[in-house]
Amino acid sequence: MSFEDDLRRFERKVRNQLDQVYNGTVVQLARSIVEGSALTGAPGQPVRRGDLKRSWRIIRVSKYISYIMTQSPYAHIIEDNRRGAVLRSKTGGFHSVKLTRAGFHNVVRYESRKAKYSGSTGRWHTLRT
Amino acid sequence: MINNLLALAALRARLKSLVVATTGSTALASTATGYTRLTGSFIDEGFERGMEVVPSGFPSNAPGIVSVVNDLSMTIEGGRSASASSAGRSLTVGLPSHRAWENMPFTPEDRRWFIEEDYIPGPAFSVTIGSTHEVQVEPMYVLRLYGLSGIGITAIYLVADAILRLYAPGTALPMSDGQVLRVKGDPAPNRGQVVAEGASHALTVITVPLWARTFNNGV
Repeated sequence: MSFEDDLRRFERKVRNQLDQVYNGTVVQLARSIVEGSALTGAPGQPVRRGDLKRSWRIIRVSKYISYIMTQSPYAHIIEDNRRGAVLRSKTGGFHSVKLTRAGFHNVVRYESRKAKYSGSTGRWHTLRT
Repeated sequence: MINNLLALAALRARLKSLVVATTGSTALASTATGYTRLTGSFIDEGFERGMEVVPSGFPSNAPGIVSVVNDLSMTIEGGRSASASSAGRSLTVGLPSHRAWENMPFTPEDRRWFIEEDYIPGPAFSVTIGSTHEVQVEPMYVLRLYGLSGIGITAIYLVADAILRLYAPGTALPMSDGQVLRVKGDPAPNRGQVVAEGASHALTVITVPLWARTFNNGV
């Protein structure tokens, strides 16, 4: 084992963790907008027939660029709680995108800790004492 | 955890302090069409067409919508009651007088500005350790500012941007129980595009992300 080998292993580990953090963050952000999240305080999308909730998509543009988007014509009415917006659902609420954006650092911190303390399988390590 | 009632009170107090344009206390007259002055400049003081101006010191102090602005005269939609010039009067553009506070009944009127609020208590996180560790809470204050449709963007831009300056990043908002609510810098307060809302109004949504730290002792 040479120092060079150690560096290569370290590089692979960092790249794997970066991919884990990025992919996990994208999924958590989308989940926050659609389902709600304790990390961001977002309530998620309200549900009547489920059209709005189903309309949200993750579009992967490149390895580290993704869009979380919807083409629903009334998504902005729900997002901004504009006049006429009525919640007909016991779940979900308003302002999920804003709250997700504001809570972005909490999501990244959570995913970073998960990558640090989990192995390649994504399972948390158990601290042995 | 913070007292959300006091947090909202602090946010509203700051919002009510909004001044977009004002003559200050000065000599003003009212005419059948609006207001006049002999010195100073309504234009230099920041008044714009479409703004809602609130008079003070006149026989009638009903808010009015500015339709034309010149240096020494201002025309108000619907006109005014005439009164001779007198000192100690003022004209001010501030927070719209029609305010839809949370969970209060409200009916908007055509050709009247109004503002709506949403206060979201947000998530909370333990940020230190120990039994009385610190907890960080991250509320959010969302305002929907409704200006008048069909008059361009100047008036609503000026009012919305003045509200954003009230909640500049890092601004401390002391609460009456001694706690301090602060405006976040990342993301910083921002506002959305001006969009049509019905036939009478134009809307912009203002978002103010906040944070505060408290001790985990119920105070």
